[in-house]
Amino acid sequence: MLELTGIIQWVGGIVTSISNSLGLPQIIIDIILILLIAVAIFAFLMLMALYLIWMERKVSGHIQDRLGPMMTGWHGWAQTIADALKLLQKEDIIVANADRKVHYWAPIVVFTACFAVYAVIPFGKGMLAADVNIGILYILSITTFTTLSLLMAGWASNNKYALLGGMRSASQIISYEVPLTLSILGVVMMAGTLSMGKFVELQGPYIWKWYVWPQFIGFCIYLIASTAELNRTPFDLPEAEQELVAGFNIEYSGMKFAMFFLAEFLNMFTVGAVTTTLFLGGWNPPLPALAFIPSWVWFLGKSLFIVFVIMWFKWTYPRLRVDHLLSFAWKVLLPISFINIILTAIGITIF
Amino acid sequence: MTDVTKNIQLSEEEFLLNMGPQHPSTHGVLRLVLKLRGEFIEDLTPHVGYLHRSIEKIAENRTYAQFMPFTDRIDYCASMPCNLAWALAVEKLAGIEVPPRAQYLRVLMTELNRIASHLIYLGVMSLDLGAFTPFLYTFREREWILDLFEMTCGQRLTYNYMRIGGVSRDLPPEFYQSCKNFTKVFLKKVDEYEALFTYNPIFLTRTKDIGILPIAVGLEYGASGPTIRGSGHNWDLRKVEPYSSYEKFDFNVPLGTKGDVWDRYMVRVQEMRESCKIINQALDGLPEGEIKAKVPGVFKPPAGEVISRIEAPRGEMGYYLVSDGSTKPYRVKIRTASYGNLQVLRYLSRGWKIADLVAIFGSLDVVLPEVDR
Amino acid sequence: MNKEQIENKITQKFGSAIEIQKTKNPEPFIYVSIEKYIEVCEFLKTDPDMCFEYLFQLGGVHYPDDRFEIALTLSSHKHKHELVLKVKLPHDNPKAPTATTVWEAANWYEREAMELFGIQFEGHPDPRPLLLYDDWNYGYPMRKGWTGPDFIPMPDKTKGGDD
Repeated sequence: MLELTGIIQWVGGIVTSISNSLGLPQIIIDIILILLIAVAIFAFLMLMALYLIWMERKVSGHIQDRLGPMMTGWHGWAQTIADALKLLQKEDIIVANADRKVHYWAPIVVFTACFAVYAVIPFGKGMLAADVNIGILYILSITTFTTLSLLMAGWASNNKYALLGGMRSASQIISYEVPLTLSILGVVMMAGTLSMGKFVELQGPYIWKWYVWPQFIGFCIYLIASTAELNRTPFDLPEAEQELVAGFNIEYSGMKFAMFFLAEFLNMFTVGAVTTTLFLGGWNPPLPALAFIPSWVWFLGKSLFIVFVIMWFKWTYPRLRVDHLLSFAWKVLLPISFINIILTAIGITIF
Repeated sequence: MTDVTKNIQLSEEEFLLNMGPQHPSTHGVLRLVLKLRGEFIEDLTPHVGYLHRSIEKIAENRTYAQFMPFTDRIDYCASMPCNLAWALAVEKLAGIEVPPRAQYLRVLMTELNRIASHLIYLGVMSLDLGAFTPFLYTFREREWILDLFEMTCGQRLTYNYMRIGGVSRDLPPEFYQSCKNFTKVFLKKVDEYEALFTYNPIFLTRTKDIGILPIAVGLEYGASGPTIRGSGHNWDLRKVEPYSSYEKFDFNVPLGTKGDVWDRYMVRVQEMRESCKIINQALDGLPEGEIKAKVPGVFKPPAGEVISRIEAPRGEMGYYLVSDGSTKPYRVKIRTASYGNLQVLRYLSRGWKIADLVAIFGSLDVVLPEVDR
Repeated sequence: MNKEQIENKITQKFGSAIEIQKTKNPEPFIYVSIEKYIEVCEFLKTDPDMCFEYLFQLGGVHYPDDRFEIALTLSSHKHKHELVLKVKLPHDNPKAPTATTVWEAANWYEREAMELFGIQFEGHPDPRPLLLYDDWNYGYPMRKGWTGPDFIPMPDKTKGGDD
């Protein structure tokens, strides 16, 4: 069995026994364990971000009838590493008259926020860093930090394009946060919990127990609204290349730009992970008979599929206009998500 | 330019945004100074001239034949029509009769180039609207046309194919089959673009009823070609005053109805199909014979003045040519389609958003070297 | 209308202000005196038989010995005929009234002629240079016999003010 639960317990056991033999107090042991988990997740996510960037280039390449990166290693697997090395060497430029502190902190805020989400994501059986009982609320609130950082970046850059991008991003997220939350509400009503671990347990072990079937409308709304929150095409107005050049990150260079870039991809994976947990049964296999494949593989597979769908959107659709985008949120998504909630409530009462 | 920004009066809610000269969607180097209220465009001042190469002055210092390669550089997306207009102007001046085979070859090449140019338009227009993929699809097909050109005249961008009195080379033997295949495959590819784009709801909301150009305004500002045909104005020089034996070809002139961005897009898509028709007819009916009239080595046309006009992919282009009877032209005034089309931009984009400006500007299909010359 | 009809009608209307140029071209080439220039333009645009609503191009020509000319190519989409209208301007201090009042399209063409030939268009709504850059003060390059310096320095960007 390739389940990682055993390894985690084994590592935990070793740490505990070593610490005990050294006579450390319990609190220190806990901190060491938490740090270990954080480092593990951090390392995993960095690798994931690199992989996702490579994946995006390959997906876009194949959609566009070309190959994508091919020169660096097998099918260009090392392309992102090369890019990251290049970005690391670049000069960090801060424009004149920029608000230096805000300019400095904006990428750090977005980077921190997108890592903080993963504390409550169940990666597999027994692979949940912190099973907070308000997990989904925590995710919703943390992901909104992205807007703050985009607004910070836009404001601090002392550039009109950046400012327009930041403003667009703020109005966009304020609008799309509402249908996003409401679409999750349906699942929460059905599950009767806010804990991420519970969501997964309730959706096992058969495929027809996944919430995507009763909550299909909610699933669609969640996918649309979260694409908008990710600022990806067709909702990539804050960084609309053809209008605002690069929007909020126009004045960023080197590693700070890379942090925005990585954060975008990590957020994409977050959306994949949350969608998987809420609607696609988390790490559960579709049927108990398929349980020989480790749970984290199922989780990764489902998440990456959602990520692929989001990439697919990006390379197919043109971009919406600001007012269309907002009226779509308020006039279409919002009423539908209310209807969804009412239908869910009726369904719960009847069955 | 310094004084431009200073002389604009701004109220408290307005601000200036400098778009270009280096901007992803200004198709070259165009600078637009936008006066914005929020994201709405109150006023707009285009600044051109970043690509001014003084081709008109160069013309006065080159012989008639030597000037031909320079016409390629007027509009690099569609060099053949620029070549053709120059050849027509000089032939009109000197009274040279072009052999029928050369005329057909000219039509064939010009129409192929029209498709290539419209493909760039289609790709770039989609790019302006934020869809990256169609851009690569259209360039894939354009590559085929460039291969055909390379086969014929050895060049892929600046062809220098036309000569005074004819064309430089005859078609290679393998051209016929390859071109036939192209027209057959290409019609299917146009359907593919349309499936991706034409009735896509996002594309429709971005283009329908945006930037409406009334016919009268378009004529007043000097708009021409698909820009004015999108408004429903039936004016195509290939039909109205046929040059280079266009009267022998059977094709339709696609027209729009409203004159919005979508109509201008649709006119171009249909023009590609019509061009395919013309190419097929030109290939099948290609007459035998000479490809170049007898023109003396030291070419001295009589003194006089002449105008030439053709329907280039972007609209009407032409030359006003003054000759003093020497080997070099006395004065060449180049009229290009984008020059007129760009002048309309200010009228069209007032009151729209930045995102619409990008769509409107894309739909005008302006090529900046053509404006600056 | 064909070439002769246009020529006759215009001569009838304006008489001595019009001078027909003899050419082999299918289009009439007509000189008009500077005093009647705008009047003729308006007539050409509005007269139902003429209807030259489309300005195809406007350009200057320099004859160093005696004069400047501006040549307008007009076309009528309604009657499908064309015309070249030309105005002779004195060599010293060439001035003409602006045609932007008749055709909006003349705007940029006139700006171009202004900076390249030094022809002044009086009453032009926006008489800024169009193609040459800001600090250009090396004369009018399209004039015959113009020689500029061998090396023209790039405009000084450090002076600022460009936004």
